[in-house]
Amino acid sequence: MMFIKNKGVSTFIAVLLLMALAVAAGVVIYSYTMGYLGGMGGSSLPGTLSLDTATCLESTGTMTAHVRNIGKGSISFDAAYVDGVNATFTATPDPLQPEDVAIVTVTYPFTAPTTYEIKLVGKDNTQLTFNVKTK
Amino acid sequence: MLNRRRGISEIIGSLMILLIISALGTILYNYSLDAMNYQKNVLESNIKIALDKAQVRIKVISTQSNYSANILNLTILNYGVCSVTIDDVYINNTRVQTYLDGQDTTILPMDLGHINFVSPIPIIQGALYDIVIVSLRGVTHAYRSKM
Repeated sequence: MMFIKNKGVSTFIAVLLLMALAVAAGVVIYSYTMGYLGGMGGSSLPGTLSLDTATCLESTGTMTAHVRNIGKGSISFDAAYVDGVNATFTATPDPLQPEDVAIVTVTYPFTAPTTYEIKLVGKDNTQLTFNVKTK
Repeated sequence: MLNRRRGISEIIGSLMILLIISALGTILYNYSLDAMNYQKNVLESNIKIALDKAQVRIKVISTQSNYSANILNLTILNYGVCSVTIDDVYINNTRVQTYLDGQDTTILPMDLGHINFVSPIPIIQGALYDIVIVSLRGVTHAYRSKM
């Protein structure tokens, strides 16, 4: 007569143990990584652009705008568009700190008395769109 | 005939897979949470700014000039429901650089405020000037004044 001894835990208990272990391991890894990776996201405070004044001159082919950052984070200017066309621009200061004002100059063959739609875009996708009439 | 089974056991293999998946899931969760929080902050910030702007009402009710010294004195009425701080003034799109009094002074609702500054361009008697006042929240009030 042969005796077959089943040693060890049953399949059901093994699955339960695995689940418990996985959950516990997940909690431990989560707590570690949250502490470790938490600072990798960078600033989560966005900036917001607001227009003070803008003037556009045909004689110089430039549009000069005073742009204010009324948000909480700094903004780096990335691009300027005139009626949807990419245009060269300069911004001072860049990046623009909160509660500060930048002078943005866009160069484009403006013709008077046309009204143009100007769009300024920051590197964090902050956008400001306004219309200005050429003099 | 020998049948040697090499490698790790099924249980250890399962555990390792679970650990790897948990770790990857945690990293993904952390990054997606960060991205979603940023979008939420952007939305909340834009709504708050729009609400603040909607509550601000300012108007220049008087302009006094000192032609010889090129100094302007504006009297501003805050007829909105929240206090206003005037941060900048532009004359013909030229930003005022020298303030004598009144910059960054808070004007309470239904109250008058004064701002005194040196004009960045020469003030000529009888000429028209475009004056823009800007609050700290970015609210502008533009008007044309004859000096």
